[in-house]
This record gives sequence, C-alpha cells and structure tokens, in this order.
Amino acid sequence: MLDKHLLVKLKSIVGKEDILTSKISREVYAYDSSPFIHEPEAVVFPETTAEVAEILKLSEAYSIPVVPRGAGTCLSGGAVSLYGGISLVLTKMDKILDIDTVNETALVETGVTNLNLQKAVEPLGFMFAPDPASQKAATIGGNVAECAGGIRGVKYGVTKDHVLGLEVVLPGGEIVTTGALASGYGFIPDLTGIFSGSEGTFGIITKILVKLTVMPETMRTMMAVFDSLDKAGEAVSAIIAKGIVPTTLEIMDKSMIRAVDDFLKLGFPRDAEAVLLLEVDGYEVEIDRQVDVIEEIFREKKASSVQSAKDRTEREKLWLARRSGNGALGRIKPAYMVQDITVPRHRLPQMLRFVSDISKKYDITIAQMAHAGDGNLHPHLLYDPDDPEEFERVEEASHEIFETALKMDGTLTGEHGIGLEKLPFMKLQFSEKDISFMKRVKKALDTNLNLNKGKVLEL
Amino acid sequence: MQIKDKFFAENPQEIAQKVIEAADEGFGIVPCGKGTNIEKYLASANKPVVMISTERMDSIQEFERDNLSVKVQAGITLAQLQKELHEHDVFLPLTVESHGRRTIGGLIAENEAGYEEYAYGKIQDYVLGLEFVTPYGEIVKTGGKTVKNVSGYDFTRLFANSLGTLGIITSITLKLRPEVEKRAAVILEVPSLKEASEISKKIIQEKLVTVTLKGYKDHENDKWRLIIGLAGFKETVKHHLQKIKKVLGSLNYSELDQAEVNGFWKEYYQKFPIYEDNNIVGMGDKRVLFKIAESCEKNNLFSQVAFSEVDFGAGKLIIKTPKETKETIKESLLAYNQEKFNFSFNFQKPQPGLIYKKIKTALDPNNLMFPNNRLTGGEYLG
Repeated sequence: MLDKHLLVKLKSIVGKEDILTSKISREVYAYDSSPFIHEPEAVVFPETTAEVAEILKLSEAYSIPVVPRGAGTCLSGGAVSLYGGISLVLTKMDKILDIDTVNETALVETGVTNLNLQKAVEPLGFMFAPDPASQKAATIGGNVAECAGGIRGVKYGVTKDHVLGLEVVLPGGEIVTTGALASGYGFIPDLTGIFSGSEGTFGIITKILVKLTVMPETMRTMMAVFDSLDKAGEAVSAIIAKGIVPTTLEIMDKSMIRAVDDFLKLGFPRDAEAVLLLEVDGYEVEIDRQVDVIEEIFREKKASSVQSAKDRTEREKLWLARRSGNGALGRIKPAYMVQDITVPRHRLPQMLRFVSDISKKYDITIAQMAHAGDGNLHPHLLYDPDDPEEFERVEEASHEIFETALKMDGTLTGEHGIGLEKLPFMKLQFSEKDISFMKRVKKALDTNLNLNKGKVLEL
Repeated sequence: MQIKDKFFAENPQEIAQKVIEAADEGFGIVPCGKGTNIEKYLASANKPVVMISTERMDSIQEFERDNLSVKVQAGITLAQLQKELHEHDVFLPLTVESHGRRTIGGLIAENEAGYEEYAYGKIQDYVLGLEFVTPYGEIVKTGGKTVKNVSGYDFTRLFANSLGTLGIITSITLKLRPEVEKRAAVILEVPSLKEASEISKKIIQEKLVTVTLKGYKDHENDKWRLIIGLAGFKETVKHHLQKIKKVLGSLNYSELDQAEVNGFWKEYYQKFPIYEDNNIVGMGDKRVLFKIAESCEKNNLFSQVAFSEVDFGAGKLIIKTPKETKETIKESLLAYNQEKFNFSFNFQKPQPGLIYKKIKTALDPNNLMFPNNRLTGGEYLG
C-alpha cells in the first residue's frame, strides 16, 4: 500500500472518486491482455494534463513507480504494474478537442478510443488509418505508446505514420509539446517519433494531433486458396509489382485453415496450404481494373479458387474464416501463446514454412495467420497450461522462431511491443551499444526511472 | 571560423574513430554530406571544428524491390538514388528537381520534403532503419527494414531536423512506393492570390489525388499562378482533372502531362532555388497560412519581393526578398501572424524545447556536435 500522506496528496489532486485502493480494484488493474499479472498499489484516474503533471511530480518526490494505462489491451505486459506503485489510467481524458478538415487533422485527448475517433471523423469523409484489432477499446494514447498496427498497415502504415504532434508530461511533471503542436514546428527537431512505441517509458502522452486520411470511395474484398505457400507468396509480390498496394492482405496457413474449417465447415480443400484474403480500396473509377489485375495474378499463380465479394454480406462471409481463427483454436487446446515477429515481405512464405517445421520438431500445434502484405506473422503456439512439459517445448519453439526471424532481417515484434514478454530476447536483436544508447535516452528523460520501469529495457 | 580538418570518410568505422579523436582534442564535429547547405552555419564557429563528410559513402547497399525498401549510405545524393529506383518502377517521394543534389543523410538531418509534400509528407516518414555514429564514437543501429517494427525504442525519427547535432547518420533503410501510373497538372493564371486561396480550399474539400497545390508569383510576370498536381491511376487522374475543371469554371488553364510536369519543376527550381540566404520560409497551420497570405496581399507585400510561393497543400510560404527590405518584410510577416503558436518562420530564433535539451545533454554533454549551428547556441543567422 502507498504511504498515507501520499494517498492524501493524490486525493487532493484528482479527488477521492478518481482513486481506487481496494484489494479488488487493485486486482482488476493487475492485468492487461498479456499473461503477466502485477498489482498496482493504487489506481488513479486523472482528468486533465495538469493533474497528470501533479501526479508525476509526486511520483518523483516519493520515488513511486507509475505505469500509464489506456484500455489495457496491451499484449506484451506493457500496462501491468511490475513494481507496484500507481496505475495511471487515462481513460477519463477522452475528449475529441478539434477536427480540422483544412489541415486534415484531429486533436484528441489520450483516452479517446480508436473507434470513437473513427466514428467522429467518418461523417466528414475521413478515417484514422491505424485500425488495431482492439480498436473498440484501445485508446489513441495507447496506440501511440505501442505504435499499434492493424490490418490496413500494408497501404496506410502504422500509428507513427499518422501522428503529427504530441503533448507529453515528462517524469518530472514538465508539460511539453512536440511536432506540429510545438512552437517553431518545421524549424526545430521533431521528437514526436521517439514516443511511438516507447511503451509509456519516456513520458505520459496527454494529447495527440493525428493525421486524418481521406476515406476511400469504395473497397473490394477477394479470397484465393492456394495449394502452395510459395505460389501465394509469389502472388503477393506480383500484385505489388503491378503498382497495386492492397489495403489488407491476410494469409492463413494449413493448420489455421484446418482449424477454421473443422469449426465452421466452410469447405476449404483439405490440401489447401494457404488462404489469402485481400482488400483493395480507392476511387470508384480505378477499382475494377485493380480487381481484374489481381484476379488475373491469382489465376496465373494457380489459385485453386478465387472468390470476390459483391456486397457487404458477401464481404462478411469472406472475412468469417479470418475472424474465427482465434475461436477455432480454442477447440483444439485451452491456451495459446501468440507471437508477432515480422520479416521482409518476400521472406514470408519461407518464415511460415519454417514455423510449420518447428511445430513438427517440438511436437506442438502451431497455427498461423499473418498480415502478409507487411510480413507480420501471428503464429499461435497451442498448449495446455496443465502440461508444464508441453509449455516448455512451446517456449523453446518460440525462441527458435525469434532467432530465425532475426536471421531473415526481421524483428521480434511488429505491433505488440517488447513489454515484459520479449525483454529476454532484446539481446538477440540489438548489440550492447544499441541497448546502451537506448538506456542513455531513457535515463535522459526519466532519470529516476519511475516511469514504467522494467519494460522495453532491463534497468 | 577555424576548420581544423575536412575528413572524407569511407565507412562508419572511420567516422567513429575520427569522432573519438576530435572529441579528445576538444574540437567541434560538423557532419556534412556535400555541404550544400552548411557554409553559412560555419561562419560563426566558436571553436575549431573538424568537418566529417559522408560524400564518399554513396553506395546503394541493398535494394529489395519485393519489400519496397532500399538501404543506402548517407552520402548518396537523391538524384543518384532516384535514377536507380526509377529503373525498377519505384520511388522515394522526395523530388529530384527540388533536392536532387542533396545527400540522403543531409535531407534527413533537415527533414526535407519535395513539391509533392501535400500527398507524401517529409523524408522522416520513409525512414525504416538507421545506422549512426554517436558523439561518443559508437556505431548504433535502430529500426530495420519492415514497416511494422516495435522492437526496442524507435530512433528512426530522432534525427528529423536535428541538423547534425545528435550524431552522424551513416546508413539509412528507406521505405519506397511503387511508381504511380500517371502524373498530370493544371496550371492557371489567377487574378489575385485571394482567388488562388479560394480555389485551393475547394480543391482540398474535393479530396482528389492532389499531390501539389501551390500558388506562385515572380517579378517577371506580375500575376499569380496556381499549379495543381495530380498523381494516381490513369482513370482517376483523368476523372479528377474533370472535377478540377468544374471548380475552375470559366478560368483559362493549361494542362500538363507527365513529361511537362517534370519539365515545369526543373525550370521552376532553376529559377527559384530553395537554398538561398534571402529566402524567408514560414510553415504551419494552413488556416493561418491563408490568413497571412491574405494580409500580405492586402498590404502589397508580394509586390516588393522577387518571388513568392504559397504552398496551400503543405502549409508553407516562401518569399525571396531583396536584402535591403528583408528586415521590414520580416517585421510585417510577424505582425500578420496573429496566431504565432501555429505558424513559424525560419528567421525566428528556434526554441528546440526541453525534450531535445535533455537528450542533447545526455548524448553530447560537451556540445561537440555542430557546436555553432542554429540549434546549439551559435550565433543565429536566420
């Protein structure tokens, strides 16, 4: 429990209704969406930037760790309170402050959910391009802190590509602005980028100026089944070589196809090695030709079947298999560990095949779906929590998957973050000098290491 | 100014060694590419400096067409790179006509953008990975070659507009785009800047494949012209040209095809090079830009200068002033800018902010990296 004087001071900052200290509340906030569980000593809900600043000043004065948190959808343990202290829940800072159709931007508070922002800008003909699967709950502040991706990443990039400026409270309580929110923008260093994916370890993001993207006039959805992973991979390369950048390009491997088919009885061929789900968007006048080109490529690469959705209902049907992946796996084993290694796009078939071989080597089930367009794989390693020996094999397989992804010039994590989960593997990807540089910047901004300590780096 | 040495490095290891040696001697370290934009900042050097040029580090290290990425050494010029990329039908959205002679390292250090900034943003948006030498002489890597990458901290944008004050970039992995199918432009003479503003606002609202939206005026021809550039699939460009014609109504215009667009910009930047001491540049919120431009026109400011450009797409103003009236023009611009927070000029003393100061102090405690430029407390030459 926190010191009584500190609690009194915290209450005087946020009001007694915005602080929780009961055992049950602390247990609730001990979780995020990862398997890591660490209880905070108090859960605090600031409503303004000034309150955040006052809380951080207290944290410095009392050397109390602070872990910022949005909706807690983090998959790598970024939002759990490893060292107790304060869980700073930012969901009450949820106002959309400005939507500016001339500059094509929106200024939002950190706790606005991704979905609420989408809903607010849609009637004006815009979208916020990053669309993580957690978008109904996940906050924009969390999206920035984790640099969230999503299924539109192929065409539109990731969160950092859509953030123009930030208001941040530094660990000493100083309120600062970056990028297009800073005075002198364009003529001073733009340090917005370093906060993307910093997992709440540099400062607390309180406001975000995001870039809006013009909502495409139309969209087409297609699905192709291949009996060879390589042919599916070649199709992906051929589409991009034609100058077409799909909005979405998802792939499922044999294990995932079987799991889904056993669950939903969709009638996929038993020898299907890969299912590609593809969407293109754009202006009405250009879209049909793109579809024709893609269908032609699918045929050239010997897809065993190609389907196109003609309306929303048909689109939902095509998406059903992809969306049901996680549920289908639950029928096979009670738990899974999901990775999000990313490799250069053209290495994807090779990586998918490697993971498939690894499942045989360790005698475990691994089902794979991947954002094929950006080389981001989600292998699901299935296990029974009551079988520690099996879990050990899952961990060994994981390790080998990380090593191989790095050998292919890939990365440990494409969109889930290092958090606590991948901390032990940082040394595989980075040299001592790289890590020491990261530590130097972390210490420059958070000298007393109060902010989300123990995430990203071992300190 | 005392330049102790100008060192042309061949690889990052040599740079690291030179940085350590210079630091031991207490010399300042000035990174440069070709040095196209650097001389003026050296004029007021407050300590002896060693210039480290990456000019000879100009190779393409790895090009992966299927991954839409290219890894280059920092000293390659934009023109060299684009020529190679062009042969493979991909491009880096930074325009050769405006920045061709600059090195990629230098363009990142100044976070530059081309004349298609409206659609494609600045160079920082295309950096997937970096290798750099720190002021302590360590070679550090950040990022990688995938668009999705959240392993460790992302310092790929740390150097955006850092002007060589945080380290020396040695190699860069860039994200590329497939070449667009068609480019075209519409160019027209407009009776006033106000008219150009009004048309631009309408074009923005139309949500077209607009890549350029600039008004400009030079002293040879005392009329404002507006250029609207489009890039995309051929059907869309054709369709959007029709939409633009509707917006323009009875105004006369010319249509430029792809070759003519390239030719236009080549001539444009020959006539109005961007890197000139007397250029005043302002940028920021487009709503503020519209207001400032309006005040400039009302007060006849544009008729006193050699050249003016208002980039309605990117939110930028460029004015080429005669030396004698530069100061008065600066004062007028500041007076017109009622919303100082959202719009800044290159002649205002930069306040890099607390985050930069903290990082700079930690990375370069002795202020050796580019000790006399506009960010690090040298005489301000804006």
